[in-house]
Amino acid sequence: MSIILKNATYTYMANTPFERTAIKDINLEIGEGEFVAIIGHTGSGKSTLVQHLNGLLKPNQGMVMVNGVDLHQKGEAAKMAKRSVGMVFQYPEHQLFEETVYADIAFGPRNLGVPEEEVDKRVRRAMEFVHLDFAVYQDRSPFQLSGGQMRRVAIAGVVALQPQYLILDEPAAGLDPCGRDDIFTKLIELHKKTETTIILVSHNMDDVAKMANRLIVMHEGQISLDGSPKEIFKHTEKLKAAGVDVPQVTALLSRLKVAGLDIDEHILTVDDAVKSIIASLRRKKSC
Amino acid sequence: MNQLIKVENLQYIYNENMANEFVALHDINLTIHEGEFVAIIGTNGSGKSTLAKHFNALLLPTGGSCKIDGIETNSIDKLWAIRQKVGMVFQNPDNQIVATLVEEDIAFGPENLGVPSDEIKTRVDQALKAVGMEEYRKHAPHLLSGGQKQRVAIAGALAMQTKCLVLDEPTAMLDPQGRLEVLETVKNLHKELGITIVYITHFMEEAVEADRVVVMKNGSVLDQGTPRAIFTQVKKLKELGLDVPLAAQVAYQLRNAGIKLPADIITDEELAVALCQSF
Repeated sequence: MSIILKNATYTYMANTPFERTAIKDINLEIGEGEFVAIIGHTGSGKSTLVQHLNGLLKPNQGMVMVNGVDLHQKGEAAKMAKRSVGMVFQYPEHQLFEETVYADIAFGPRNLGVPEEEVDKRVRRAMEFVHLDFAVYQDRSPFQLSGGQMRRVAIAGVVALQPQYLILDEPAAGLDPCGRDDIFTKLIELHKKTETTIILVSHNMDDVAKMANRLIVMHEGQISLDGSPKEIFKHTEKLKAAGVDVPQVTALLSRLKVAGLDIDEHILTVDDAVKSIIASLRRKKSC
Repeated sequence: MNQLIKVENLQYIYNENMANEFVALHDINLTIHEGEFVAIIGTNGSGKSTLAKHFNALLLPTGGSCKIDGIETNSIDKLWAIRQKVGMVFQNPDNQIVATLVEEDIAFGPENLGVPSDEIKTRVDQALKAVGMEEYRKHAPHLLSGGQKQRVAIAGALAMQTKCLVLDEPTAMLDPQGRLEVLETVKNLHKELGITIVYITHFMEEAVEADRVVVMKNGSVLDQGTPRAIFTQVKKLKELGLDVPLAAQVAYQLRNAGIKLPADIITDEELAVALCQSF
């Protein structure tokens, strides 16, 4: 079970003066149960890439397979394959439309013909997932919530579909630090508990470095780096070329190293950084 | 110094007297002086955006008052005067662009005011220059990067000869490069043109750049002070669900582990210097 892209190329507005190739000859396999982050600066092709993963865009060349099924063939199999991939877009709050939070989250599962009792369960679970109190918010209009709360309702709507692969395009943009940590903690939990494959698109290195077990760096429509976070952050030059920042922790540690501290700058969490600084100070004192 | 924005006992209730009534702001008192750079931080739903929308009369107080340069925002006949003084830039750059060319987009505001065309040209030139987008005047705005779009939006406000810019999470959707562009532009406008800045953000390393940081919680102002005074209260901010700059966080944890460090570290540089001195 996996999502496979074979030689996928996509060109916007082909055969016009505005023609632009957004992704070029991409070969990629994302296996079941992975937690993948796709990073790259604006225009690097990350959003175009992920829109291929659930058949929203059809590659001009090459193919997309989900669980062994070509997404762009006709018939029931391709339809089911597309359904196994859930997508939370950028600004998902723009897709809210129902009168109440409950109805909005229930819309997807109802459309799939899920029985009402099960719909109710899923709505409750999804709201718990995004930390929205069911009693308080179920009857509120989604349009009178704060930006961050609307975002959560929108994410809950996709989570309620219980996709096998869950793609999120910049899910934390505009959320407060607590909301950001919250969504990410929940994603990690969802990944562990249900073995949902998570594919996260982001330009925030700090967020993804801690969570993902695989990072894919996009640059000019191609994959420039693909590997574990620790592996990737060693390629400072390539990251720079791709316009991606190293995590703030890494930047701080590099600065401290320049200042004369003997530390490993390839550390990804604040706690590890603190430990490393203390160890380095002790070494200094003992010699 | 001139009090540009003066908010007294401000209260705002969404859907007042209805079943789903919701008090978004209660009893806010806040003064922003001309030429200040104020950052507003707070969790989602703390009332930051609701408050900001009062600054150019997009929302009117349901209680108390909000004065812009001495004018009450609920004097309907002064609405346009207020909106000229205070320009707004929102989170999503795609929602605030109206024209098909950058220069036309920037000219849209003054054109609507009936400003003579020579004058508009001068204003557009100046605005483009102030945000460093002169080369893009003939470009289509929707093909620009996020950071560039936000700079066009800022230029649009400048062309209205605005005294004050209110930016509501202008960098939330941008990549690191775009965030830097916007922040540098804002800092520059503040320094060079003396424009008053109200900057709402969840990025604490941006809030550090302000003269004053206002912390909001549940529709009230909880605390305010210099970035240094605010961001050294690591424990308190964490309890509020907010962050502190990374260096402040690391310094805090190092102090807790018994390393002697000054209590007021908020930048990488300061931490590096302090650590060098400690061995």
